[in-house]
Amino acid sequence: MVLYSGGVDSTCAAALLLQEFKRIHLITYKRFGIFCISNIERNVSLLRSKFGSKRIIRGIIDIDRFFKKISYENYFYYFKKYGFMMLSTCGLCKLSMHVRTIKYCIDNNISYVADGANKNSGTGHFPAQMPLIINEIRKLYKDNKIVYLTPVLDFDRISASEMDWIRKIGFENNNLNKKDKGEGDSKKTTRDELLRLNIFPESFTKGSKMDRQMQARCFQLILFNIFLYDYFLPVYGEEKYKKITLEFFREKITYCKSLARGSNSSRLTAVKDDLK
Amino acid sequence: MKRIFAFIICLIGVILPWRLRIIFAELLGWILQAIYFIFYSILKCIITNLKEKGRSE
Repeated sequence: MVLYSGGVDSTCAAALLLQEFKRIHLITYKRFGIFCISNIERNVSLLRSKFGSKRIIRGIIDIDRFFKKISYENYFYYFKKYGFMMLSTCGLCKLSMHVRTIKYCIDNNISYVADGANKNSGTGHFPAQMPLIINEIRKLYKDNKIVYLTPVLDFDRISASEMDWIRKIGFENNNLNKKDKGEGDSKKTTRDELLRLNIFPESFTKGSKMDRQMQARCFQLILFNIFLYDYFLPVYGEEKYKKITLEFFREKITYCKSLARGSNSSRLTAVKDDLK
Repeated sequence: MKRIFAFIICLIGVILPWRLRIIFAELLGWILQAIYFIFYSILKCIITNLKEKGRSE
């Protein structure tokens, strides 16, 4: 099963999995605040035309109540302990998706899960891209006898000079690219891989109209960015951020485990009735 | 000043209940999109003019 956002990274993850597995479930999660979900179908069609419709099972699942529960349960306790970390909406949203994924996997007897987590994408501060948090998520899956794969984790980031808006203003011949290239471990990007597999057209660039039209839109990362880059990092620094993020998400993951009913197993086989 | 401004936005964000927080983030998002568009347009104009000047010289 692939947690599918329609972006370059998750499309690449899906394409790589389709080379290994006979059939995959391409699941997208929606909730209040995520708009233009229909954009995602564009790349689903590309994957279907490349690998065949029968090999892809498509689904869109609402996680509104999961997200609300995981983000706002015991709110004052967490707020007192972690303060503005409560604005880490993207991390909590992704955690809600993982918890719902575990339930989906159990319901459908699926043992392998993958997503487009890439540690070199963006600035690497998003919890879902941090290897420390990914390891914790992996443990959560392992507790439920599911293997969590991150096929594009070490892929390089798409360099700044390949970005559409940099090209449009005629600034592509700069030194930004030299700094970016080779920062990742694999020396190739998810875009390169999709071009190699003939899934994306040669003209595709990050930030282009095509890029915008293949993903859902969510502005909640802006609050997190303001908290992180304009407040937390300048005041407390990188190390403190990593430490508090790990602590916060460990506690949230422990809470997610407690969503399971029954004492004989940690499996999320029976998520409380109000979350069904 | 920037930190104080960021602190105020975070404070508003953190005390809002979840749907209102999402609407607040949407509002901020559109404001920033507008700022980005203005920045992008000005930058494009400056670079085009500099290139033209460079060519004419």
